[in-house]
Amino acid sequence: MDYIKKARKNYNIYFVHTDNFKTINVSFIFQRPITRLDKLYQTLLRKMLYLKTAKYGSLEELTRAAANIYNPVTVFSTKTSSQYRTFTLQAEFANEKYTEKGMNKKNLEFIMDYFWHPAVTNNSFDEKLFAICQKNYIEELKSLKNYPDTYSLDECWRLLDLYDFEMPSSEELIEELKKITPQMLYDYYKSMFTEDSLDIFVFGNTSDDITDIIDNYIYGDFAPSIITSPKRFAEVRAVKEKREKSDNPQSKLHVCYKVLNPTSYEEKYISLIFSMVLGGGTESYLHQEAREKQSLCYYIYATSYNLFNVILISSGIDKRHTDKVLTIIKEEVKKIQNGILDEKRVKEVIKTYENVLLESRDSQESLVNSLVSEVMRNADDMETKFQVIKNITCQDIIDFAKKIKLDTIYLLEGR
Amino acid sequence: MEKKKFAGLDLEIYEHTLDNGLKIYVCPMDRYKIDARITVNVGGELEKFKNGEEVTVPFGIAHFLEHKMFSKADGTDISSIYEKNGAFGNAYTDDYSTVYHFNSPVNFWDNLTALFRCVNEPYFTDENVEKEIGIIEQELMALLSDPDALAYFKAKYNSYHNSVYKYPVIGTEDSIKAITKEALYMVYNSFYVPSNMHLVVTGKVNPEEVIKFAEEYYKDKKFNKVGKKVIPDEPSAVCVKEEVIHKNINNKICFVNYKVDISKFSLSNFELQRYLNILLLSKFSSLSGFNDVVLKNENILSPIDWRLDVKGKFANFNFTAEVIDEKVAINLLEKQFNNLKIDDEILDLIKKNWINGYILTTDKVIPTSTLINEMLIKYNEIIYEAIPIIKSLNKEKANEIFSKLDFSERAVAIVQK
Repeated sequence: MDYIKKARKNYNIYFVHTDNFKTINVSFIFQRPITRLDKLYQTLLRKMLYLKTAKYGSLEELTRAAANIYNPVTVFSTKTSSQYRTFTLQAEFANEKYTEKGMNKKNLEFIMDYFWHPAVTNNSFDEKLFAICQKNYIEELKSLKNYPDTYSLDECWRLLDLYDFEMPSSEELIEELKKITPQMLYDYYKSMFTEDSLDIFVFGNTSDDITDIIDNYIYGDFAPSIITSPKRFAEVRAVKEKREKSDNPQSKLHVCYKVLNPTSYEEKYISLIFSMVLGGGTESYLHQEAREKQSLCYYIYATSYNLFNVILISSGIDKRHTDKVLTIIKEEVKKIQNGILDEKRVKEVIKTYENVLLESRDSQESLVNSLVSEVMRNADDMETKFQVIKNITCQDIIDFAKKIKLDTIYLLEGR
Repeated sequence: MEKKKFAGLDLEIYEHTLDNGLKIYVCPMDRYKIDARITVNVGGELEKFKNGEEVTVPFGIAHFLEHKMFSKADGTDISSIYEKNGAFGNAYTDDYSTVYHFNSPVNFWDNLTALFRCVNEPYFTDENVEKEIGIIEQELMALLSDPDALAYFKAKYNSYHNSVYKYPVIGTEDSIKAITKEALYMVYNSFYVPSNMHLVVTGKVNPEEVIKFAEEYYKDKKFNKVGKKVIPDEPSAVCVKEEVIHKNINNKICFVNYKVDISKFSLSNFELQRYLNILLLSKFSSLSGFNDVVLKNENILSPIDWRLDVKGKFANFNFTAEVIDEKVAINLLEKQFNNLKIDDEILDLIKKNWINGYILTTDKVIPTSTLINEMLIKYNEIIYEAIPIIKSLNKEKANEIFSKLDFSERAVAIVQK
């Protein structure tokens, strides 16, 4: 992808001119090495920043101001990428060519205000607003068990032991959350200006002068940018198993495999192709066997988390079928490890992936994600991806399958 | 073939109706992805219909039919054609319609052939129907595990006396088990008829070639008359005013449905629904200050989500939240309903919001296709003048409509420990 990189003293701006879209898309990505409570602080911060700014003192005022400039879609998101934690402010708004002259600048400033000019009094976040967000987050954590898909996935993810620290449970997070004060959250927020790196991505049908608006508006002594590399495992451990009971009518089964000593090529390409062959879509081996042939579940799918070198298989089942589905998963993996792999199926999956790459050119958000992966995660560019996937062979997938080891089985057992 | 333009947006649509009644809408867009969808006008609302004699079928049959239309007599599964072509293909059923769709940047004609086969070649056997029952039961179980869905289903069930809208589109455990291949063929033969369907294609395609393809496909094919759905009379009152469902959850979930008769208004459906949405946005969104009040309330543990769901002659105003005391939340809603007047300022903000929404939507293939298809399902036509109509909405008309709405009928469902 052609882009202009503007390296500033403390941050980078990547600008892509494209006349394919009616909108302008801008992303501010903050990144830092992960610690045990980052998720807690970042989620709380995200909730606070949405509700008011220094300029607009209530949600009503903020929403009305947004509507007045044709409602930019502004989203804060947080995510773990390998051993790093990212905090992203992403926004999309109609290009002023379709609304009113001057709206691009107004939108950009409005969006940046969320992070750069939050509501602060006496060097701390507003106490009342903080109490609301803290309560709201505690209730959200308490309700987690109500939602079996999310809860079971979180629990399974904790069992994987992916970090140098133990991931806190929702009960532990609630206890930690109760200890946080508005001052502590404000200190965390301030630390982002020195401890996080900042990379900014701007896409749209406009001149690259638009980045001047950003340069003139933001401040911060950000850390140097980091290129994230995947978490790697060198040893097998004993399989961790956990079964929990619930009163839901359906059981949720998650089975995780870790990839031992993969090559960079396997991490970038084969992990994804393997998971699609095994459990991506209705023609996948798992779907065909567990749902179509044996009617054991409504859904079963495999996902590759290549930044963690984890392959996750998830299924919603009747509890009577747990052992049968587990056996199918192990057998289907074993078959590939033993070289039983249909070349036609592999070609279909490669074609699907090619189509995904092709279609990503239709979406500004996909193009942004692709460029983010390229510059922050060391992913290959689009053209390289097209070239590489053409040459993937069955043997590549079989070799990769031999490197995956069963690591974790989690069952949230229904009634 | 007629070329029409969406006012205020760089978007053109070619409309054409085949001799057999199939309506075709093609929206060329300079994108890699092409989206195609065939909509059959039959959905969860089907229970009784006439095609000669009056027939009663189990609830959830339209959704069941959707699942079974992918299997063909020669052993082909339509999904496998899409997958082999690297396309994404699927289907869904709502109260009014069943939509079959695919999208892909390549192999368009092969995929389109598969889409036409999908809706035109039924193949039901005792064995394949029996097998599907287990799969659909698990789909229902997944839905019933979600306490929000549970609260919604119960409020919906309690809102209606006779209408099939009482039931989930997927059906109930008993009704799913009662479905047979004979019932499936009966529904198929009565509703999967070109004059009861439409095709929408969005992306880089030549409209004439799409029309030619459809004409060729249907050449020499004969179809039955479309069945006539029997819609039972439904009183304005809700069936059960309040019900508590027990489930092992942490926070109580409260779902409120206000059932409002809107048959007395003579506006177009599009305009009327815009005004009803203005009511919700002006009184219950963050634009109104309502969310600031909710946030500060100790008895309400989450934002109050809302949506408008029009079913026949009733508008259902749905509200849901996690609460400590549901009475506090309901009182807040009632307070808003008691003061429905709006001013020009908020109306202008809502209009700007919607115009921006259209601009964002029509930048992408799938949202554009969805926009066109939803207009066809909801209003039976594409509203090309949507933006001028939105600009013309005014506070006098809004206040007149709001003053005539009766919010006295509500069904409340509570899910708690």
